[in-house]
Amino acid sequence: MNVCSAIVHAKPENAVGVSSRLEEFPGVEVHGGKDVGKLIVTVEGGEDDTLADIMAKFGDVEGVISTVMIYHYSGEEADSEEVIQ
Amino acid sequence: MKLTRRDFVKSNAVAAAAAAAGVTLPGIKTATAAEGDDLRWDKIACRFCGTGCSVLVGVKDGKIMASQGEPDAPVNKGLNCIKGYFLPKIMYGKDRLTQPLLRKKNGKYDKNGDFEPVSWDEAFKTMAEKWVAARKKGPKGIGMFGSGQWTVWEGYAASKLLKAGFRSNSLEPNARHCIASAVGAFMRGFGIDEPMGCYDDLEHADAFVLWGANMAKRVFDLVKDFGTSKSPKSTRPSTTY
Ligand code: SF4
Repeated sequence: MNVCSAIVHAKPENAVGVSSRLEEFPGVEVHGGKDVGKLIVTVEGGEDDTLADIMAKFGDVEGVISTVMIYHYSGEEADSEEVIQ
Repeated sequence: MKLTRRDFVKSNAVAAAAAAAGVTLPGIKTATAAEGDDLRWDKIACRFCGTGCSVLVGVKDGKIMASQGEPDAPVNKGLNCIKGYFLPKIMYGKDRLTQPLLRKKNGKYDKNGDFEPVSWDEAFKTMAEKWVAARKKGPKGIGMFGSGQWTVWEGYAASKLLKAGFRSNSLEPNARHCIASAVGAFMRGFGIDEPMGCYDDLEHADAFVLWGANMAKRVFDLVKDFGTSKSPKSTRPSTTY
């Protein structure tokens, strides 16, 4: 299991468009922050360098000002295991 | 409520990002990811560039599983650049040097030999022998090349050891190579030494003029508010670098 979170900066007026362009990448989800131009993004799936490669490509997406990485988890355990019931 | 490990990790990741951005998300408690998981969180510094971000690493069974920008660090304030992605991975690279190597020919030290793994005992013994032999040539026979990453106390100890202990002036840091040329250029260009300004200057500035570099990609922690509410007139920095 390979999961990353990042903050992607964009001008608030561009944030909706930027969100949908980001979500075209596989495994990318935008969770909020559009109103302030700080998109809370997760990138998941893929092995090894794929997630970093995807985040590096964010920089070339129209309207993106910068991308910073916040959290990265990379574990070998089964991701479907139930942890809370 | 059923929650799989993936859901759990993901919501930690989202919470950490929301907390660092100061964004409130419905249904997500903005705690650090370090809460409520089964990882032991330790603090490290990223060495991939001169920014020196503080990073939290989550360890399980002696292995780094997760990393997160340290929210309390004054410089990076919870952020890392994409290179930070490779921090846990680099620990386990197959090409890592994990034991001392010595150039040898026919089982003996030889400057022109090939690297062979040796014990720490042998490594230290060889170093001591070479040092003692070099010392016989007097103070000029030995020298120390240090690093700009030395702490003040490490630099102090090195100075004492070399100058007071071995009576040698042959002590240099890489800093001389690095900054001496830059200082010359600064004096000539701006009439003053050293890069002018500090992080706080950026916080207080209203306008930024950049050329030849894309700070958003290279010194991201300084420009986290570029183009957002703080400087609404800024344009997107160029992506060429
Ligand atoms: S800016 Fe990136 S490479 Fe530099 S110290 Fe921070 S995380 Fe590491």
